[in-house]
Amino acid sequence: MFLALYLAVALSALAVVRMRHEARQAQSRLTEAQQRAQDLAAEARQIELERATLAAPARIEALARKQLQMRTPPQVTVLPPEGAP
Amino acid sequence: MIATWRLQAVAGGLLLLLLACGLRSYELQVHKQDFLRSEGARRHVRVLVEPAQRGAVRDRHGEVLALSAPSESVWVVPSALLRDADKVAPLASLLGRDAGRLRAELEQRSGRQFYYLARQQPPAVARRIMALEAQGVFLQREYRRYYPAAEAAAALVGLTDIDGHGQEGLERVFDDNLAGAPGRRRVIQDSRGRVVEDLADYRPARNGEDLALTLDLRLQYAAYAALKAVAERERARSGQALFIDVEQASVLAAASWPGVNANDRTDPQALREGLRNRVAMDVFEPGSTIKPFVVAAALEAGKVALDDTIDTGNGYLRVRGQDIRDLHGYGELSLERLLAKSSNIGAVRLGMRLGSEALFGAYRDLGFGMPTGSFAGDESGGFVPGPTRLGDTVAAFGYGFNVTLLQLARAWMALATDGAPRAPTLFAGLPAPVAEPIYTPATARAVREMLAAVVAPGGTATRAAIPGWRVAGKTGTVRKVVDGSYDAERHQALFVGMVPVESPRVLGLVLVDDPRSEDYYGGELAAPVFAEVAALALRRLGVAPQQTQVALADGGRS
Repeated sequence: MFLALYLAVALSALAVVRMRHEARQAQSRLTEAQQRAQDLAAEARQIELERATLAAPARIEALARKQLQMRTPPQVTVLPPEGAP
Repeated sequence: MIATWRLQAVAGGLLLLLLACGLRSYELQVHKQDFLRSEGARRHVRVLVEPAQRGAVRDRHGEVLALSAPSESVWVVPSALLRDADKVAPLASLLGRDAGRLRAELEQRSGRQFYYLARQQPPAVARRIMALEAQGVFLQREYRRYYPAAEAAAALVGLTDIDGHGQEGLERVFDDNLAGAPGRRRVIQDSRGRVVEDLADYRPARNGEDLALTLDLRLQYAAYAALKAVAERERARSGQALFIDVEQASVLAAASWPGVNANDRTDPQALREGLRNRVAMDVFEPGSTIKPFVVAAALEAGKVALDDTIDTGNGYLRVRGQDIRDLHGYGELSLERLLAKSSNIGAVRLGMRLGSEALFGAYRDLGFGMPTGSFAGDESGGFVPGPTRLGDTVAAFGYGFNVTLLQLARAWMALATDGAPRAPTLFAGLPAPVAEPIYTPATARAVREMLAAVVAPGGTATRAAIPGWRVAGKTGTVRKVVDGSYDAERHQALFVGMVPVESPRVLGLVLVDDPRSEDYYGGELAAPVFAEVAALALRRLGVAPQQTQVALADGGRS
């Protein structure tokens, strides 16, 4: 009788230790996952910024004129859409 | 056999030791409990602050005008880093600094527990710093504000300080919405800094909201570039341009020159100049751009009929002590020719028919003297005197009172639409306020048709023409007041236009302040800027061209 209770208490104590350990590990994994979500969101921002910088009209125009030797056409023909009155 | 006294002595000694242990444990467990517990917590319970991400400012297509991207700030415990002496030099070289000077800097602050070594470093640099594994060096994530549109939109968007608080422009006005709220968590960390337990009070970070504008970044850039080109060529003092989507009464572009790249804050003088939102802040006398409203008011009041002519004589008129002059003597002018020739005498004659009460009443109805609220921030109200002071003479050709470009835009909306002076909105999802019409649709349409002659061959603003679409508009070349009197050498070149004439979709206003060339006329300087930007706006908005036209592109930019 006494022995059975003693065993039950000991087992329960061990179980508490084990659960606590598991809880901490789960907590640690959760924090890591949250951190990773934050890092990914931050990276997305970084990439969006890069895209905006690369696509800035001033840069596109400079590249078109200098690297691709593009010019404004000397003559433009404007056509109304087909079927227009 | 061991002597009994020795046994007793050992037992007594052990008992004393046990007692000492007991006493010490009593002292620690009971007496010093609070102190020790708080000291323990101080080492392991940490409050982690999660920075909130500031909202972005975007244009109508979601393009970015202002964005916060992550960066890492490097902070150190100076004394700890100094103990790790051989890491100081490589750290200095990563930060691009002198090792000796860095060491001196650290020694000076060796009593402190927290010192920012370098703020807002790119993540890549931060990673290389941490790879040194130097003692007492830590990272803190911060967000850095970037302005990809740079100088093209700085005056409108404004900027934040290094801590991410709005300082100028929209960044300041909408700071509360953009900022969000940082989160906090109280956690227990183990010795390696990993979070082992979240304590009860956790408040997640609330990121700031994005601010969506009706602006079109491409047009904003085009407007700024065209304005900059003419202002630099003419060595002007400043310039401003405003383009409006008439259908939605929304702002497509609002540019101020000189601009400043808000990503680079080394020159405070240039920063102050470049951040001035001239479209809302600078007042000027509207000059001839006001004449269409005198014609419209006279038509509405029945003081003139569409086919009447006005006698402008030989180009000189003296009325109530004021000398009124035209460039030439035009004689009898139809209303259309009056606007095309921009006759001051014709405008004064119409103003006198209206009377000063009615003329100033018309200006009040157009909203002059009252801010528009379009940009939600600081704005000048302009100055309109009472009707008796300047009478109906100079006010009829746009002198003696002043307006902002935004106010002038609101007034022109009455001509561009069916008579309602609607203040345009800058904010997506926030419709422009409804305004009561002050003209009948027929009057607005008639005045638009007259203004088409201004841009047609023989008018004052042929350079505002856009191949494929019919344009209506009005030039203004305003003498500036210098030291209390009008200076014949200093001008402001103005053009206001709308396209297509029949049912305008784009309204554009351009002002070049104090150009230094001989050709200081609004039709020469401001009209080409209008034509260039409005043509792009028509294409961006998908407005079909009305007629086939082959045109030589302008000799200027783009």
